[in-house]
Amino acid sequence: MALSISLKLDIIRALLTGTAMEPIIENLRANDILSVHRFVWEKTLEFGIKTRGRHFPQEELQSRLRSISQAQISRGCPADLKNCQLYDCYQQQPECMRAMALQQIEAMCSAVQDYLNV
Amino acid sequence: MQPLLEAGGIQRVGEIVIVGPPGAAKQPFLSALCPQVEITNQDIILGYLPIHDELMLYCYGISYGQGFAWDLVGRKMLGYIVIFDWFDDTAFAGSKEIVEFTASYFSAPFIIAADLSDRPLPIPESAVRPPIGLSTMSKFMFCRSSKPASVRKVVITLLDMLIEKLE
Repeated sequence: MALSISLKLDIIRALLTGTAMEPIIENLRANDILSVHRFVWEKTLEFGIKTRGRHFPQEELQSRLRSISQAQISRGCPADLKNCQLYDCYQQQPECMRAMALQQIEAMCSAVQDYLNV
Repeated sequence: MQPLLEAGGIQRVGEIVIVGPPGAAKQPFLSALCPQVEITNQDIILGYLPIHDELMLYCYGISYGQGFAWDLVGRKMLGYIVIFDWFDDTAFAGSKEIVEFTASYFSAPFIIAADLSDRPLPIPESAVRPPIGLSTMSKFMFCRSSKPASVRKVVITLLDMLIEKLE
C-alpha cells in the first residue's frame, strides 16, 4: 500500500532531525509498517550514498539488519523458519513481522543519524 | 498553459502556486524570485517571472484557506510549492494538512520546500542535494526564502519535474 505524502514527510523529518520514529508509526497496520520499512530502507541507502559516497558501508548496514533477524529466530520463530522473512510473514505472523520491522526501522534510523551526524 | 496576446506575437503563460501555512514566507519567496510582484486586495500575491520572450510564469502566493483562489488556479496550475518554516512544529503540521488537501485534489507535481530562512542547515548539505524524492510527483528540499539563488533552485526543480512528466 502506498504511504501518504504527509506520513512520508513525517518520516523524512524524523530521519533528518534524529527524533523518534516510533510515535509516527506505532499505530500503523502491518502492511503499512512494511511500506514504511521499504521507504526507510530506500532513504537510508540514499542518505548513506550521498554522505559517504563510495565509502558507504552497505554491507555493514545489511549485516546489522540480519543480526536483528537472527536474534529473533534464535528466540523462536512462530512459523519455524530458519531465516526471518518480513515480506512473507505479514499475513500469517503479523505481530512477529511488525516487531521485527520496527526493530529494523529503528536500526536504519540510527544508521541515518550516523551518516547525518544528528 | 494559456496563450496571451502581446504586441509582438503570442506569449504563453504558465501558472504555478506557492502555498504555505500561516506565517510561511510566501511573499519573501516571490519577491526573491520575480522581478515584479503585486499583492491583490484578496491577499493573493502575484509574481511575474519572464522565462523568455514567449513564456511568462505567473506565480501565485495563496493561502490554504483561500478556497476561491484554489478554484481559480488549482485546475490549471502547472505545479505548486508548499513552503513552511522547518524549525516551527506548528508550521510543519500545517504543511502536512495542505499537502493532504492538494495531493488529493490536484494531480500537478509539487515541491515541499522547508524554509531555513537565515539559520544554518543542521545536517550535511550533501545529504539533501539533489532533493529527496517522496513520490514520482513530489520532492522535498530545503530553501532560503529570501535568497534569489535558493528560491530559483526550488522553481527549477519543479520545472524539471514538469519536463520529466512531459517526456
